[in-house]
Amino acid sequence: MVFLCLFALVSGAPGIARAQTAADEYRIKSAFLYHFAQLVEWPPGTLNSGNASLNLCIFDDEPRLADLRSTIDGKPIGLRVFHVVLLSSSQELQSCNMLFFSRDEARRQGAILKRLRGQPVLTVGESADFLPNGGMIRFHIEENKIRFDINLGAADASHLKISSQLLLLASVVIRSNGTGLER
Amino acid sequence: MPIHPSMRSTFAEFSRRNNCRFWRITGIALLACLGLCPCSGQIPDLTQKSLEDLMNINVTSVSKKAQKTSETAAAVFVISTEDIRRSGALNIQDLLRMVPGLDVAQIDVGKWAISARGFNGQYSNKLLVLIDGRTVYNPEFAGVLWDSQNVPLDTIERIEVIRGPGAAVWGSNAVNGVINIITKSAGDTQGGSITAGAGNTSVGPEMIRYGGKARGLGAYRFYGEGFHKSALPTIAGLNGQDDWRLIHGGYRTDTALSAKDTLITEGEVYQGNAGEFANTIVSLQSALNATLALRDRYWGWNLLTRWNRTISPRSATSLQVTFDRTTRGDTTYDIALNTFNIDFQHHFALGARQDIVWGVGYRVGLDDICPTLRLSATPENRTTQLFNSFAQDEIAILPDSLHLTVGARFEHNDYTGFNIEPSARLVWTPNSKNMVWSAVSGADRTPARSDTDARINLDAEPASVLTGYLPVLVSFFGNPKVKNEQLKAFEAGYRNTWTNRFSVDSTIFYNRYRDLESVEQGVMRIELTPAPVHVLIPSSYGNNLYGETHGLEIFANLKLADNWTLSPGYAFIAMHLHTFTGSADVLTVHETQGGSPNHQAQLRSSASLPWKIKWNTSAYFVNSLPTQSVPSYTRLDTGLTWRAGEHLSISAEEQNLLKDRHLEYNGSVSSVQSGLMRRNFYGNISWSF
Repeated sequence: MVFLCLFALVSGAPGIARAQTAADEYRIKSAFLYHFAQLVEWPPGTLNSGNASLNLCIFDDEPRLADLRSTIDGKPIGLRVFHVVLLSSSQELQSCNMLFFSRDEARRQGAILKRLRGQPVLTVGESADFLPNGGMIRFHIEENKIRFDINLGAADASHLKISSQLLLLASVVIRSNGTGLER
Repeated sequence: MPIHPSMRSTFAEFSRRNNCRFWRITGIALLACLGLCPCSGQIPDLTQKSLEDLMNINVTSVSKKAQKTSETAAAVFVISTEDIRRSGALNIQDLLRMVPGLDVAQIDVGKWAISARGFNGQYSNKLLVLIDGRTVYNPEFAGVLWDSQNVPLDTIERIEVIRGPGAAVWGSNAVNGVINIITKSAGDTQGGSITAGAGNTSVGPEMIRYGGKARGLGAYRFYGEGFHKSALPTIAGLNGQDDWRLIHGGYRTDTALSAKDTLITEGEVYQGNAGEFANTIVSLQSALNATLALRDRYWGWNLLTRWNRTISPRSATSLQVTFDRTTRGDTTYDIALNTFNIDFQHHFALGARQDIVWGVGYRVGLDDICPTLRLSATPENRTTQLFNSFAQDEIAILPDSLHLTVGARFEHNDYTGFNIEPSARLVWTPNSKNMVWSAVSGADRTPARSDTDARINLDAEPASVLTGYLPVLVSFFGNPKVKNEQLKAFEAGYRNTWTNRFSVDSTIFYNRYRDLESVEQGVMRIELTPAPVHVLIPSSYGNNLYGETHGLEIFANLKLADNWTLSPGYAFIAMHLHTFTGSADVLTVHETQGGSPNHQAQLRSSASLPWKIKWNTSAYFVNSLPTQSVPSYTRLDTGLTWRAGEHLSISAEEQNLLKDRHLEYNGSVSSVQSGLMRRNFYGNISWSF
């Protein structure tokens, strides 16, 4: 079949030189997650004092896991080390300081966000109703660039302090009385 | 703040993401050899970059090189999910009213005349419509059967409408515009949803939808929907008998086969029936025409499979396969159509300045037109093939500010053979707030069976002394030698975002047409079949019309307050068509020019109120169609949607507030009686779980 041969031929062609400014979407998002961890203050005593790690939890059936892990697992954050922890079920949330839901997680996130309400876990997601459901930071793409919105009300309810530097870079910040502030 | 989505999207992104070429997996062996492709290069450590730097990186899977954004050098309008939610529209056709430059005229409950830049009609043949890249432009009738295109509105991700020729990429018949309806991926419609609604002129759509994930399969959704819309009154005030019932269901799956491969499959099955009053020939024995209440019954199904592969951030391929079957008829006609399509596309960046898309495709159609007194075709069954290939190169002459896109499509069809449709577009982006573009393109409208092979018996007249005591039959024949209608289009546009609260988009165009179809009288003769022997007055298609159209489309978005946006729009078109001397066609020019309104204007308002209520209002003004005796009208629609809780959403909508009944279209060549649009109320509740 001509089409399949063509497909194989083209897809197997030698790679063309990679441009430096383009990168896979989820690698960039993981770098964002790394920065978020540096610009958010957890309430005293909540970060794992024992092993000096800061845990980002991701569900283990996330197809983009490899991208997320390779970029940030093991990187230092101040005196701590960033760890990517895989969750196989929602039972293991105790060790999480941050939780990331990709856009396919719309089903699971509702129940989990409810459970984590008030808990010092920074929740980051992508689906359209992430912030109304109580999520704290939401990624979206605008003109091919990554942007994010912040639900300050949810962060305040968990006593997580988001630095003003991060608030300034957000596209939309939702404060606790429900009104949006667009820039 | 976000610029209106219509302002910034890349042409190449259209081609790449917009489902135009389709794919099928046949062998694991193939996957194995694809796995040989070399992939990784040096990966920069992104954690070293500042947040500001990260926010400046482009994330398309095919890189647009080291530049900001390429602007689309075309008159594009995007209807987003938010626009759909706020519009209160119940179907795609009503949504299309908000696109400046589109003529949307509802003929009766289930029939619409939709076109771009003139030439409107029930089977307007210069507009290409696709759903997720599957062509729904019907190659037998040369038009779109709108009553079969019912995508549940809350599964639509966006609708991209390009006014102007898109033939260089999308193919012939994308002469005056392309509408691409893109559905949400299954991952974006997870969970369940039940929607129920009713109004004074309709029951439904009632819909149930469910999405989930399955290991190995990825994300999936399936839905079932049904509705019944009541008949509209005719101009004479009688019941138009055009009530419309439809039930359909479908599914979609999105699977990540690997980090670089995704597979989409979709399918739909539908069944419907709609009535109409049509003036048709009933018998030749005792020469008789009548206006009959007919009921069109139709059903069909379609399947789509697409395999996308990202080879590198600078190269991606796509293979798509679709199949579509539809059967429809009433007591006066009976047809079945099957279409199979396979398309391959490759999109890659070449060097630092070029972005290339190219592809090949094949379509085969098998149709069956069962002969009736009203409609027949020679041959009764026909297999038609279409071969196509296209290539497009976007060149950054001055990266960041000047881009030139050149492309052409090459096609071979069974009726007129080989044709080429070229296009050249230039975009100048002096800064991030302004963009100027201009384009020169050629496009062809290739013939369909209705142009070449079909025969329609229009009218029977009784025998008289003057006709030698023989009855008379007036018939219309397709012309197997009919030529492609051709367009040369010159367009230019300007987009501006003065502040983040005000943006404007304007386009002007000048279209030159030749070989437009005309109706030519044939020579009267005696004919033996259909019995009894009769005098035949034939007419057929010629290509003796030509001319030009020109116009302007402009729309703006004004964000008057954080929670209130106004969107005004205006479109103007002037048509100057002519008939070659020697042709006896005196009607077509007049009817075509009078079939599209010269002026259209719109004003839409969307406001967010407290307690999660959204209020939208739209006003549309459409100028008159003098040759159809359709007066100008202003239509006002308004509605509220209330998000009552996490799972519940309630909406109420009123359409045609100003006048209880108005006429939108009354085609003089059509045999179908038009209905008057009524003032209607509609409410619906949606519960998600």
